[in-house]
Amino acid sequence: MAPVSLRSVTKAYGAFEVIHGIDLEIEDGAFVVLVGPSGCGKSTLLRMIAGLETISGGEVVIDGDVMNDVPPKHRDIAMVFQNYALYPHMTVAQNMGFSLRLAKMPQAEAAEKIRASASILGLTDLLDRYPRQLSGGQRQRVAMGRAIVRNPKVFLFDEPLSNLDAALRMQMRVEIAELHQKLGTTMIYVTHDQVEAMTLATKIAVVNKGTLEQVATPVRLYERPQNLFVARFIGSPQMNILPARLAGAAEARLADGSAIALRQPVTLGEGSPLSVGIRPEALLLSADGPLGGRVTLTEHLGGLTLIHIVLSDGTPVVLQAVGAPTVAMGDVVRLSIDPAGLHLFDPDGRRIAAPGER
Amino acid sequence: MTTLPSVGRLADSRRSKRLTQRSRAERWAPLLFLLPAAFTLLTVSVYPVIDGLRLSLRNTMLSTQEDAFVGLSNYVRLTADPDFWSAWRHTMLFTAASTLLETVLGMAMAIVLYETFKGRGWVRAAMLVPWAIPTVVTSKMFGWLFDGQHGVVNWLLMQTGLIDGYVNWYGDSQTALLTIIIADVWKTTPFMALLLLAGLQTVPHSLVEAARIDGAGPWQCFWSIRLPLLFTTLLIAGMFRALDAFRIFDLVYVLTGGGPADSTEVLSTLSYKVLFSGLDFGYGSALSAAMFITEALIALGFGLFIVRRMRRDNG
Repeated sequence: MAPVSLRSVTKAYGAFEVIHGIDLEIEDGAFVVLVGPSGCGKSTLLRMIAGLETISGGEVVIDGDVMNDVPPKHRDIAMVFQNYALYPHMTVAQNMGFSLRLAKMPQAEAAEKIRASASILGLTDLLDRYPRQLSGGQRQRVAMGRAIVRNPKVFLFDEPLSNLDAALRMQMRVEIAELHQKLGTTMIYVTHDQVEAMTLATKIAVVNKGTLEQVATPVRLYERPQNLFVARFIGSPQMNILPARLAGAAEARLADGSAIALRQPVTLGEGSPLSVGIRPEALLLSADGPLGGRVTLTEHLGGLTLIHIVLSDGTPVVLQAVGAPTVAMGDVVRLSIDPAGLHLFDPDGRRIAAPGER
Repeated sequence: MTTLPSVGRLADSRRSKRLTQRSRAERWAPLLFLLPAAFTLLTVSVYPVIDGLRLSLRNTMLSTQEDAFVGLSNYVRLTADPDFWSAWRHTMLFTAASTLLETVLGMAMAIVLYETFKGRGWVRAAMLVPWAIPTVVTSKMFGWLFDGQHGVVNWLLMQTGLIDGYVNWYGDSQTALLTIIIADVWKTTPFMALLLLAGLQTVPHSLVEAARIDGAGPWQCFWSIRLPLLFTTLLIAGMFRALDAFRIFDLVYVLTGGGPADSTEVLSTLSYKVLFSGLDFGYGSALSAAMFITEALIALGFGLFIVRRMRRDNG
């Protein structure tokens, strides 16, 4: 158990910089998820914490010690790889015990630790099997077993669930969350799947093009995205973004002239462009709503329904309704907006804070 | 309505006729395509082996025009022939020493070449040069290098004080075979290294990274991860190398001609001499058959080991 700090960490390959000075404080026992689109540098960042990539600038600090020049084996970390990286010529027990063997732990003690970890993960009956004899989910568990058997200061996960099918992914997600509660160890988890990030994290760091866009709790990230990138990236289906202009102190007007009442006066100049973000669940079907559009598609998900609508100014939006409202393709509808799901962004894409927001 | 079923049946039978025609063609086409290769192998590989075995049971001698069936008497002569056993021992010694050295050194070279460094591509390409040089040229080169009076090896060893007087490397029965082994190792190690390098590259990098995080240093990464995963490749490469080394001819023939005092005589040079200098085709064929059998046993030994290994890896 240990806190981890990144202090203006950079990574460059030759003259090409891919990580541009990241600062991140990870408290002891936190579950931090680094999330971002593929190629954003999140995996590189994790590998720098692991010691598998050199650090071009700044400092990586684990439990108060600067780790820049410390090899991985002395960082007291464990890592779960995307492809599991199980040693194919070793049994499950040998895979889990490899680090203990290298640490020259007495055999009886190591066997006891392996047994304990195996029982946490339900691997007890598989200890004598080889990785090739296991299913994807079982391999995933062995990879986690190999990590927890050492009782490291920090766990690192590099997209550990992306090779599993949807049902298994959900199950393993729950297991990882339970594991974190049980062990209380600091965990750093990389994924491109914002659902994984939202469900697992105590704190999410949104990474984009080698910089941090926002670091916050999942709920805060969802309710107060600091910029358009985060607003679009977090939440499924995506937040609807409508281009608009400021008309009067507290009214935004879309291209077709329909007006949206704002919760607060905005101190941009009259006529200044801004983006209005509306969460799909904050769009409501109502006969006297300010927005008008035509239904192009409905998707029934059971408890929820997604209604795809093209607004009269041509912007496509998605509305998420509870149950199965009776609308059909081609219907002309009117929409109102729940102010709680309404977000404003200035021309640079930065959030315009609502009253009372910090 | 009543005609429909019969129309259907007619179409069915037509279709099945077409199907049998097609399936017949499908059955014969692969065999037809294999024919040229099978014919070539039969004429250049199977026939000579069988004819060699046939000759080994006769006393065919070109100089005296003798040619009669003599049963196993050539083989009886073989078992009591000190020249044969001496050549057999030299061949086995050469095979074992060169294969072992080439595998160990090749492995070391492969590990070095696996790492990224400036100019790696050039080094990898340059490595193939010794292998690409014709063996006869290699033999001549080593002939000059190890020359007893003017050789650079003697000069260097003298300069560094490792020897007191010039050594007659391939003229002395104590060192002649060693010289040949050194020449073969120089020539073939890089090829072995490239084979093993290809094997190394199939070991996923993430396994080595996982081992590093598990606390393994470079040495442990090699012993516990890379080497076990490379073992099957190592065995296969070793087998090919051993079978190749067993047939050693050109290096010996050019460098020492089998001498001095038959100290470097190997089975290939011995059977060549018996066959084409002595024109004793009967006995020479028996020698070749003995080579064939020894080589088959070596291949069988390696093969059993490899199959067991593969079965364990995939089972």
